Amino acid sequence: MMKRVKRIAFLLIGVFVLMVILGAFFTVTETQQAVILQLGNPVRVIVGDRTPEEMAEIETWMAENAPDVGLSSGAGLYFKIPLLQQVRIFDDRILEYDDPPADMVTMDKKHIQIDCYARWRIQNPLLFIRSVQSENGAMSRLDDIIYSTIRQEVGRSNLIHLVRSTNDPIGLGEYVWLVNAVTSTDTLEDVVMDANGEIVEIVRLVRMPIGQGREALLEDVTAACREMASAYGIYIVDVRIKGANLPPENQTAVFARMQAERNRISTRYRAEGMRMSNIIIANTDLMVDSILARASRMALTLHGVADSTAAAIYAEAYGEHADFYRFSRSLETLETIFDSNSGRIIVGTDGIFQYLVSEPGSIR
Amino acid sequence: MKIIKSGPGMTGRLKLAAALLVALFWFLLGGPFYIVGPEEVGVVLTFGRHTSTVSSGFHFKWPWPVQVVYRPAVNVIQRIEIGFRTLSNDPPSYISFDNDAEMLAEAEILTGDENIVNCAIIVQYRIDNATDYLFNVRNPEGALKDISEASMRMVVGDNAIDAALTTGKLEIQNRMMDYIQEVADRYGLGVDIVAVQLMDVQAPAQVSGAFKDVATAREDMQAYINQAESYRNERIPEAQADSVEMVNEALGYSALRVNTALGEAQRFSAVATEYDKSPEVTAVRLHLETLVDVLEASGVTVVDESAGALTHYNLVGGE
Repeated sequence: MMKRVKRIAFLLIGVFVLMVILGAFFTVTETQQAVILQLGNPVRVIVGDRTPEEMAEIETWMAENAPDVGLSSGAGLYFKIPLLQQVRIFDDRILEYDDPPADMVTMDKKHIQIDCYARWRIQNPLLFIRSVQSENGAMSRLDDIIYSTIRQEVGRSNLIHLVRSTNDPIGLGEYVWLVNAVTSTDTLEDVVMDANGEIVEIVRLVRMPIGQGREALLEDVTAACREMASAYGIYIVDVRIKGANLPPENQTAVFARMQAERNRISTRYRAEGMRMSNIIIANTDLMVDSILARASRMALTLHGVADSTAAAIYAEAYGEHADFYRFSRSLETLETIFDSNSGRIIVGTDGIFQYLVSEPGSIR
Repeated sequence: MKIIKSGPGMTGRLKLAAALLVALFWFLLGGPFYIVGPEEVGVVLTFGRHTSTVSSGFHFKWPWPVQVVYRPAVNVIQRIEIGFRTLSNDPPSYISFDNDAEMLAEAEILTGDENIVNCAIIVQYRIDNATDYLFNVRNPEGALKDISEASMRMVVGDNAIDAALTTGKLEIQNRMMDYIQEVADRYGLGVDIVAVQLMDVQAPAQVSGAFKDVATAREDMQAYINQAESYRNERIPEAQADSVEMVNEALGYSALRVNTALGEAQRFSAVATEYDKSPEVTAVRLHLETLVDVLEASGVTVVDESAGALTHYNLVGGE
């Protein structure tokens, strides 16, 4: 019985000793950093890989604010006093911050739903553990910092500055080419011409002051947030706008405008088609008329020439025998007149009728 | 070992089997060797520190917990879908902004000329630097998706709706690709952006009718022009044919007229020449022949004025 108790006791002691020895070691992987606490007080900070500048910054801060806390860096196997010291592990990677979209108002009083995200990193684990304790604590601080900063910057910008990033002219494409004159307060239209003065494209110029636009705005937001978050040992890598959409009630107005714009374009296309069609038809009619007129002129000329030629031929032939012509022609005419078989009365025997009553051969 | 020796009979064998099972698991999961596939690299951590990177093949290592190996697939092109999701490849089935509210929210963009357009894009990438990919960013795929969405909104927002719908697609893709790569590098994601593709760009459903009507209107314009052109193509040859006909007719008339004149003139000259040979006789003959022709056929009454109303010659043939 005693022997059994002894064996169990030895076993328990063995396990305990093993646990203590194993508990003295811990690993910090490449994705981690750690703070060693001794009865709740930080005694050593193990940060991840840092650039020499970042390292120097942390060293300076620690010398000022926590002179008796040790500092190591890099992943690997570390030692602590078992039971007395605990390890708090923090992530050393770039972490996510995302929040649902929020309704904001721009300087030109337009509503817009901004959905932004940020990427951040625990830069100074000791400051982090002192000020916000955990990632959850950090999240609520980031909420305050990022949203208030963005809201403030959005309130200082016009909508177009939030949407556009550059001052590059936007080609408005063939549609506006036809419709033209779509202007708003912040934009103006301009035309691009080639060497011959032909219009190549209509573009919209945005008059954004230098240092405006989404990119510039986000840089300002990031810088401001970074400054504020550094008080929590947090480094904000960047803040970006993932979505910037109009709220549903404003979309209706935009859709109505888009619809009107497209309808104008459609009307314009059809009118243009009609205009060109009318031009083609009118040109065709003109061409047809002129073709026919030319032909008619030619035909008439040909008739005239033929008639005059014939007249000349007759004149020449008859001129040579003028007396015989008169005589024979008169006889022919009489024949033609009395060709039909009806009875008629002729009063007088003048002109060609003298042939009816005169001595045959007397008139020649 | 001690435990196994102490237990007799069936329990001992059971314990042995359990120990073997544990050893097997340990071997398989954290044991002294591992295999890196052809598309993978092996990133070896010793006590959490990155100590070596190995290529594909069979390798030995210290067992867990001393060494741990990660094997990310580096040469495989992966993709992120925005504004749509492929549910299955065979048969192909998708959800997109056409039929899913969540996708619509993801696809909707306010453009630089303050229109709204829906975009679906694909971002293709591959892991370029395995250690960066593993160690620098938590949820690298999520980060890449966030960057892609931000870049899509920014680049399309910096363009007019017509550029996104028609001619500007290539430039938009290139700008997005550059931007995503730039931000990914800033995060140290260790990925190489292979391609960005605009899969589908559409005007929102509420106005798509008006957009389609623009296309129809453009076709209508072309149709009007085509109709007019077919009218022209019909009328002009017709007029040309008519004009040829008119001219030909005139030419025919001309030929007939001149030739008739020539013929008649010739005949007249011939007769006149004969007449001149003996004018009196011929004149009498012609005169008499004519009188016969005229008076034989028709009833003609000739009244002599000088002889008074009652004196008339009744010249009815034969009576």
